[in-house]
Amino acid sequence: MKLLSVAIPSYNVQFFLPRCLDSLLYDKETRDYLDIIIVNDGSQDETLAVAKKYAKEYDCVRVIDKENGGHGSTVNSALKVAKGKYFKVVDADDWVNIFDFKDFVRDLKEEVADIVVCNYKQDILYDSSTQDFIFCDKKSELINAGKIQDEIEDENFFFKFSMHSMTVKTDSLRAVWGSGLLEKTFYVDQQFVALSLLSAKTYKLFNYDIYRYFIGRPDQSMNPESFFKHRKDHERVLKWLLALTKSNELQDKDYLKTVLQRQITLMLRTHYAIYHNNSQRLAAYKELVAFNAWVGEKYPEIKRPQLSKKMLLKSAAGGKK
Amino acid sequence: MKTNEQKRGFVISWFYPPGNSSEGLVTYKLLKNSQYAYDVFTRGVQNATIWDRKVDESKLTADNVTVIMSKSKNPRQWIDEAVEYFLQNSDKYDFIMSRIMGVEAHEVALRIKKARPDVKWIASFGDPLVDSPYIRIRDKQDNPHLLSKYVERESPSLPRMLKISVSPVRHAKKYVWNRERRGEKAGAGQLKKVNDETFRLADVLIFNNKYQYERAFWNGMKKYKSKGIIVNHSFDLDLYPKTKKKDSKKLRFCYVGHLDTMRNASALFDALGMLAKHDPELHKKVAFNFFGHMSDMDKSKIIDNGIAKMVSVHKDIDYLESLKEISESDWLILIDANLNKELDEYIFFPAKLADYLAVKKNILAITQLKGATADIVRETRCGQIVTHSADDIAIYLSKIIYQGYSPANYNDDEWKKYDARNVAKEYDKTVQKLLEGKWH
Repeated sequence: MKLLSVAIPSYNVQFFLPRCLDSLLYDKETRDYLDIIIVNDGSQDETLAVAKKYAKEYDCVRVIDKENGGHGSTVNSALKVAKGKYFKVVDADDWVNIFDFKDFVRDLKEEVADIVVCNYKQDILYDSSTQDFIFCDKKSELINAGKIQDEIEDENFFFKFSMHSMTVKTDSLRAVWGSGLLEKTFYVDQQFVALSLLSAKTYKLFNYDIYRYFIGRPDQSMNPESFFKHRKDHERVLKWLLALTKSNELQDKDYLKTVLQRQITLMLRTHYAIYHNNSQRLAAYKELVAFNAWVGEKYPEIKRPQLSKKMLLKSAAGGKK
Repeated sequence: MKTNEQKRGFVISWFYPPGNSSEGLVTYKLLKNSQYAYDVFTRGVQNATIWDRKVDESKLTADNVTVIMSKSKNPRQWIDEAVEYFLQNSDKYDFIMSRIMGVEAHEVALRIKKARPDVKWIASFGDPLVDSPYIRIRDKQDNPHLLSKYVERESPSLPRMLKISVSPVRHAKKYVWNRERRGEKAGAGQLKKVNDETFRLADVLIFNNKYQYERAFWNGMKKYKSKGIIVNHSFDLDLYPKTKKKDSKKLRFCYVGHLDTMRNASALFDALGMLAKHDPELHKKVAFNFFGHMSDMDKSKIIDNGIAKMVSVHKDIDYLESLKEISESDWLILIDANLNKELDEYIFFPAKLADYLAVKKNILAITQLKGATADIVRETRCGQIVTHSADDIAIYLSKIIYQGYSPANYNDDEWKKYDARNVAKEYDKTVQKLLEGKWH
């Protein structure tokens, strides 16, 4: 029985992919429970060859080779064919903690929760440091989604929430997936989080430290330069999330509305910071002002960060201090 | 007419055996295997620096190389002495070669070239003189003697903070640090001048890998690209002992060379600590031997991670002894400086990697996933590349220790590119063209 499908979106990651796969495949017994789906997203390097090499060697690894469509398209493709009871996305430049992964997969066998939340670490290459994201120090009971905010004492719980911490029941996720994640768009991990939340009737927290989120690729989408370049993608995802807050699926799900609104506020902060932290020009800043006004008008209930005059002047000066 | 064997080069190199340094050893292996004869003008033993690591390399001799030891006490005098020596003996020489580390060798050659424009000059670059990532990192560091830095480090009580704030010792240290930095910045201008003049006046420019080669000819230097050649660092099989692996039940890992705060073993020690937490018997399975200087930071990591039973730190050993240790180990550890903040690709080719390649063992290379080291490891198929992440290293250490992972599967054609005989043969071809006037 396949307990866990792992989708690995892969674009030009020939040097990173082996580490990701080696960590997942480390324990021989665990391999039987895994369904690893490498989605080659039209890479121009040797990613496909690396993926095929692993697929040839390990029965639990398969490859989807498709034209470039962005991160979202790879997750959409993988979810369609996933055979595992649970579904998890592990980016090709990230990996899993080999010391906990075996026990984590084993525990999924008896698990019934729609979302399993695990601790994770950011692995920051620049100074060989790590940052812990801890959700629990002992395994929780099954938590009803409607009561999650009462059950969890950590008020920052959802602020720390991310794709890296989540493993989602495949059938539940498929039920709410609809047209899925936006294609050719960065930052769709926020959509994944939202759809996962939408799918969940129950949660369970595992005190396993599973995901390793790698910070250190020069072309990473979280780099400030990359953020600014792809700011329209960020805006597109924000608009999608905003629309979701008014959708029928959220009727009678007040807790989820609150969570989503918080997620959006957090994302808005990042969005405004993209403009703030770059040597943007006035034209770009005007874009932000217009977007801010649009959010205020259409979604007055959403808490927005302040746009200051000082920041406007700074922008007009080319972002120089 | 002289045969090639009779033709003689004048090599200006601050580092050369009997002094111990990576650059000196690289030069030694190249010259020893070249078909030409050489006089190497080097600094005297009285000028030994920390880079010499107080190790005597007098066993490293070559029939075709004569070493001329300087009498000068400092680098500036050494420059004058070298120039004077050459000008008095210039009839003996068919070409000159200046070896970087430090910049003084190129300064000598520049003065010679200006005095004798007909002299054929090969300039060898090890580390970039201009825009060095090491310097860039240092430039970004704040003065460690600022009051705020004491607060960060020590979180002192208020009375202690007041004491520190008025301390004349702290103010003096702060002043000296600032003055040194100002000196370095002023010196950077001089380095650039020497670099640019060397590019303009030298006939051949040697780099040890394609990344440095490409980087060297950026911007205004592009016009000199045709002067550039790549001469790999190399191993010399004649220098290795016949002994094989030591009889040991433990898996033996070995690191040979200098470690400091930038090139450090901290991530490796953290990774070992992770493994040790899960396996209290780990020390019975592995032995890690480090030869050479190690920073206090790394030594603390050994204690903090509880791995002292499996990690041994040894004093410096001479080059031939290091080759013996390399020959007798199961896995060889290579650690590059963590320059991820400054470089997307690692531009340095550590000479130690060439020494490791000779014995065809598994190499665990802690480096950037892109760059000179990574290319060589992949092309020669000599081992495993890992980043400076403890967690990443732990994955592969676990595979090695518990699953018998052994990725080395040497590609002989690639491997031969680092054999000193082949490296010198390629280098000699350039020298020959230069001497016959066929070099552009």
